[in-house]
Amino acid sequence: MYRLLRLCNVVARRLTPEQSLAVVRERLRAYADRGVFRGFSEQSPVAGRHRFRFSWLGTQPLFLHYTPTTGAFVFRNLLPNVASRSPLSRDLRAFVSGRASPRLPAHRRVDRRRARIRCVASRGSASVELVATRNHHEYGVNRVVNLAHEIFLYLQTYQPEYMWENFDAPQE
Amino acid sequence: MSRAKHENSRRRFMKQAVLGAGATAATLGTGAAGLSAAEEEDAPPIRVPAEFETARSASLPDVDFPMTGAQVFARACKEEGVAALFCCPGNYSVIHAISDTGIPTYGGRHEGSLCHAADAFSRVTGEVAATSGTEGPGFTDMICGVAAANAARSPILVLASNKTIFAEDTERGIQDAYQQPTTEGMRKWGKRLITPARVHEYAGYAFRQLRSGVPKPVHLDFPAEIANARFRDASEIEYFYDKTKYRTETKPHPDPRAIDQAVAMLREAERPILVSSNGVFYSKAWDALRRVAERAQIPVVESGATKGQFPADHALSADTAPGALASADLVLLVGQYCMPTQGEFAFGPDTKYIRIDPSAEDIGRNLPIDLGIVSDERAALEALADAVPQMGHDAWVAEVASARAEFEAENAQYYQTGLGYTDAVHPAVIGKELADFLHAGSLPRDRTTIVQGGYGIARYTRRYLRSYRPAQIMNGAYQYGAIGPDVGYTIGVTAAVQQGTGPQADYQGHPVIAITGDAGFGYTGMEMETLSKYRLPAVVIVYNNNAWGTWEGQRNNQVGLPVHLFQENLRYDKLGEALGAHGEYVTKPAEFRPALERAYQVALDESRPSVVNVQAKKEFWLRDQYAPGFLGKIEPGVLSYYH
Repeated sequence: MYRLLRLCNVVARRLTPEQSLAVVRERLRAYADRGVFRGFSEQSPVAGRHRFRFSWLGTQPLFLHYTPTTGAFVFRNLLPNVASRSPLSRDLRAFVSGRASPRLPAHRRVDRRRARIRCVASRGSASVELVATRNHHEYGVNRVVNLAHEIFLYLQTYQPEYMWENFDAPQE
Repeated sequence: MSRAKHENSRRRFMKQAVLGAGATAATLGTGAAGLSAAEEEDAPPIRVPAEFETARSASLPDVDFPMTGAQVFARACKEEGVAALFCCPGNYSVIHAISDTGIPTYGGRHEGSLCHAADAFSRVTGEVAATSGTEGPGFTDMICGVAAANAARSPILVLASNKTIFAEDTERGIQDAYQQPTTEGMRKWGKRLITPARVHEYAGYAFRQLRSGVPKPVHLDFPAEIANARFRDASEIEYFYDKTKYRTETKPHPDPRAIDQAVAMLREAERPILVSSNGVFYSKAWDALRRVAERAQIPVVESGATKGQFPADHALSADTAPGALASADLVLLVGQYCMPTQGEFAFGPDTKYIRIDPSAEDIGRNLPIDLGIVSDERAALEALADAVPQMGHDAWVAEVASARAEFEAENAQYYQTGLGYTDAVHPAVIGKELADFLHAGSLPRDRTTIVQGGYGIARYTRRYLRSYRPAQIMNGAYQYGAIGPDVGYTIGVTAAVQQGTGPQADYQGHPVIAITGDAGFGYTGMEMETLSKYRLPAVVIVYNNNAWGTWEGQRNNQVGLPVHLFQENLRYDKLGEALGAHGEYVTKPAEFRPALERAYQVALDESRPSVVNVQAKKEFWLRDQYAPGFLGKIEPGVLSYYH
C-alpha cells in the first residue's frame, strides 16, 4: 500500500495506522525474504498491539510488538535473566541510551528527533523499546531492528558469560 | 648457552626435582627417596642421538623399479610436491618410502599431535602436508587432528596402515579397525586401497582432491598387500602416468556478467568492505586483493584459519576496527569457506552480501546472498580489480580509522589495568609486551610467525598481535575448537619456517612464537621433546592459570568444581627442561619481557625450543574482582577464530 502511494508520487506526510502497519509489516517481511529472519510470522493483535515472531539472533524466537497508533516498537523480553536493579541492567540502559549520541555516525545513531529509545528490565528480563515520533514508523522499524543487533554485539564483546548462559554461545 | 651450562642446568633441575619429589612424598606420607648426590652427578645429559645428524647428511636411496607399492605412492607424493610428513612409527613401508624421497619427515610422540602439526604446516604454507599413524590405535589417535584440519579446510594427506585384505573381518592379530568410516564427514575424500596395481591411480585420485577446489583432508589406508606389493616395472601398474595427465592446474574463472554486477553494487554502496578468508590464502590472491582494495578504497577485514593476507598496518585494514563493522552496507566475502550464521559476523541486518567461492553448491548457505560468484578467488579478484573504477570512500575509511583508534585505546587501558595486578601476570600484560617485542622492538614486525593458540589467553593476545604478511599468524584451533593442539601446531609451523616453505620463504630459520594455555599444554606438551630433538626454535608461552577456562562457570559448584581445576603453580617450564627445552618461570609482570628475550635468544643461538611458563590466576576471569575479566569477541577481524 505504501509503495503504491509512492509510485503515484503521493507520499502521505501522516500515514494512517493501517498504512503505518503495512509499511512496518513490509519492512519486517523483507528481512524474512532476505533470509535474515527465519520462521517469520504475525500473530493476532492484542489491544491494538501487533505481534511479530521470528528467529534471528540466538536459538530462541524473538517477539517484536508494534502499536501503529503510538509508533511504539518493543522487543518484548529480548534479554532473559536481567534483574531490574542489576549492574547488567544499568549497563544495558546506558548502552541503549548511548545509541542516540551525536558522536555516533548518522547511520548507526538513533535520531532523537525521529525516535526515542530505552531499555527496561522488568520481571527478570529486559525489553527494548523504540517510539517513532511524528509518523517515522519506517525509520523506527529499521532502527529498532538494528538496535537489537547492536545490543547483541555489545553483549558478545563485554558480557560473554551472559551470552553463554542465556543464548547458548560457545564458551571456548 | 654452552653444553656445560646446559648440563649444569639439567643437574640443577634434577636437584630441584628431587627436592620437589621429596617434598611431595613427605606431604603424601610416602617417604620416597630421590637420587643420591652421586647418582645425580652421574646422570647423563639430555642428548640428541648422533643418528639425527647422520640422517640429515645421508644420501637418499636411489629408488627405481622394481618398486613396492609404498615406493610407487611415495614417488607420486614427491612429484606432487608434498612438503612434509609428520608421523609416529607405524605404516612403516609408506612412511619410510616417503622419507626416502627426501620429503622432510618428522617423528613425534603422539599421532594426534603430529596430525595437528601437518594441519598447521599446511595452514602457514598453503602446501600439502602428510601425516601418518599405524593401523587401529595409531590411526584413531589422529581423529581429532583430522577433524580439526577438516574444519580449518587444510589440505592434509592422512595415511595409515590398515588390516590386511587377507584377514578382512577376522580380528586376526591386533589393531583391527574399519578406518574409512571413521573419517566420514571429516574429510574431502578417502579410500582403503585394495588393488595393488591401482596404487598410483589412487594417488592421482588423492591429489586431484587435495589440489583443487576447497581444500580438506584426504584419507588413504594401506593394507600390507598394497604397501608391500612388488612391481617389476611400470607395465605392472595401471594408470602409471604423471600428474599432467591425471589432473589439471586450471581454475574456474568468474562469469563477466557477475563481475559487472559486483561493480554496479560497489558503485551504489557507501560503506563496502572486503572479508578476506581461507580461499584468499590458498589461491595466493593477496596481491589481487590489495589491488581491489586500493583501487576502490575498500577496507579489508580478515577471517579464517590463517591471517596476514592483508597487512594490519595498511590504511585500509579494518582488522582492528570491530566497532565499525556494523556500519558496512555491502560485504564481499572472499573464500569464506567456513560460513558464519546470522549474528555470528558483526555486519548488520541491512547488509548486502557478495560471495566469491569456487563451490557453487555452498554459495547461499547460512547467510543470504545478493550476488554469488563461482570462481577461484584469485581469478575473481583479478577480474574485479580490472573492472572496478577508481572510487573513494573517504568518510567510511575515516570511520574505520576511528574505530581502530578506539580499539587500540581500549587495549592500552586493559594493559594499564593488568599492570596493576602484581601477584601474578595478567593476560593483557602478556599480550601487550609480547606484541611490543615482536612488532615494536628490534625485530622486523613481519618476521615472526605466530601460533595463536589458547582460549582465554587468546581473547587477550589476539587484541595485541598483528599480521603484516601472508600466513604470519596461524589462527589456533579455529572452527573445530579443540583444546590442546597448540604444541602440535608449533611443530608444523616451526618446521615450515625452518624449511622456508611457501610464504615462509623470506623468514626461513627464524624462531616461532606459540601461545597456549595450561589446559592445552596438557594435551600436546610432550611434543616439546619433538621440538627439542629436531632443534626447532619455538618459544612456547604457557598461560598458567591453574584451571580449565570452564572453571568460571562452575565456581559456585562446590561438589563438581575440582573437575575444572589443576594443582596451583605447576612447573611446565621444568617439564620442558626435562624434555630438552629451555625453561623460564615468570611470576611477576616485570619478569615476562626478560624471560621472553632470554628464550628468544636460546632459539637464535641454539635453535632450541623454550617453555615460558607464565603464572597467572584463574580469578583474572572474574570481571567484578579483576576487571576487565574474561573478554568477549566479535568477528571477523583480529579477534575472530570461529569462522
